[in-house]
Amino acid sequence: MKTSLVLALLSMFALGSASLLSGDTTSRQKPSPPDGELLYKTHCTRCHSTPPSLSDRQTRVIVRHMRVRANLLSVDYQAVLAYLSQNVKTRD
Amino acid sequence: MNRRLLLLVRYSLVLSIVPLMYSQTTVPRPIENATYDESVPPIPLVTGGISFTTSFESGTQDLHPVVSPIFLIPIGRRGLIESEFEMQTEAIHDSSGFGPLHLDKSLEYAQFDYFASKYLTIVAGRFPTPFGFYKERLDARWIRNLPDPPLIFPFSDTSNNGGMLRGAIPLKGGFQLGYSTYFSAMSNNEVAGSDRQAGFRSSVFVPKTRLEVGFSFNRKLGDEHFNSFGSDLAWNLTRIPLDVRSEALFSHTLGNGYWVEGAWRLARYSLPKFLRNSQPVVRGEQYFTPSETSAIDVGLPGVNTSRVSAGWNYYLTNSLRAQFSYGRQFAQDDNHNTWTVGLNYRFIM
Ligand code: HEC
Repeated sequence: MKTSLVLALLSMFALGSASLLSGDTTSRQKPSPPDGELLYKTHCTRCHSTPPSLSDRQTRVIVRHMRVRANLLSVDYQAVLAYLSQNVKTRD
Repeated sequence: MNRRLLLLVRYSLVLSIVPLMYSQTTVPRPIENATYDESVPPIPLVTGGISFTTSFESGTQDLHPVVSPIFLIPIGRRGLIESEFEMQTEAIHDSSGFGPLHLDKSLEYAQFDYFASKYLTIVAGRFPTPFGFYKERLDARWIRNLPDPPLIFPFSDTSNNGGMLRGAIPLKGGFQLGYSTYFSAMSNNEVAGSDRQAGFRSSVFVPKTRLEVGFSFNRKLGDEHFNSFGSDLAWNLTRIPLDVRSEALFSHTLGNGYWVEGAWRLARYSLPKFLRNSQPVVRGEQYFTPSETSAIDVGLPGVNTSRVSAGWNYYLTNSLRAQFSYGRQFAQDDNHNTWTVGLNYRFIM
């Protein structure tokens, strides 16, 4: 019982501090546009080998799948999607 | 209702409220300031993997084909239905010939994901357990660096019938907080069984160094109630092309264990093609049984066990890989070697 209580409190504390520490500044200042290529390189080979070149429409559903699986930040998801959409034919 | 379950429900509520609060402080619509052409709709896809491995171990040979199609159906701008069905069989050959064949079928997941806000995704249906990361991230045969999963994997090798809240929240300094919190009802269905359980995994990811450290908690709420804890680390080093992964399980009822794996991405070096397509892997692991024996059997080893494994993956193409591995297991009265050869194919249609 005690352990669960401590854990629940710890998690709430972590989330509380997370909200204070939040780096999301959309409501305060204009963020610099995210670098889709860098984010693609950061995320898309973390768990598996380099993804294959796909059509724009395939990419959209797969990156949505990966957003859930990898708990991607919404901004990172959009930036990777934009990068892949623009580089459908040239990438790989 | 059990008080601990209540606590977990409260924990889940807090998790869902925090992201909702965030979404209220930001510009509401469009939910995502898309910089891509939104008029191109995503299409439903069939993807998945086909694998065939054969292992040799003290007088027996084992043939193991696995087929696992995945269906992805986007729903509007915020939804996704994803489902994986896995079929496999194991043909074991020893001095008396082949043993009986049995086709194992399982619904790995069949979930509806809804992007409720920037920081919250609501998942309902059947989904893999987010305890540690092996089940969610490395279990697919075309992803596993070694054909055999870690000794402690049977603990998290479950799917849940229930609900999950998950997402990621940006922190100061570029860090990212990831969370997944879930509950599951009990089901005895042969293809889609699940335990009555609840839990969460939270992690901090540092994009600059590609380092992620996670902590998991699980509470089984079936006939016997007990807690299990997990910690995990995934580090895709940037200076040297090495992926380091590790998980640990701590459970008073089920025992303790850990594994540490290193895999080299030689593709980055200007080496001959053969080496660039290769990926050497090593893993070390140990499992220790609980001090008091438990009636619960989730498939963990029955005695203290250690194992070292080494493997070599060769990418014939981007989606076809040959796999070779050797493992030596050390356990009371059972030290043995296992050699495995296999082919893994990932398809997208
Ligand atoms: C947290 C780990 C993780 C990250 C990060 C990740 N993937 Fe995946 N990816 C997976 C897993 C796991 C699967 C297999 C899904 C399954 O078998 O259920 C997969 C599958 C895929 C597939 C095969 C089709 C499919 O959807 O199953 C493609 C293509 C893919 N990922 C591309 C990407 C891209 C592009 C990114 C970067 C945005 C990415 N992945 C980031 C874990 C990850």
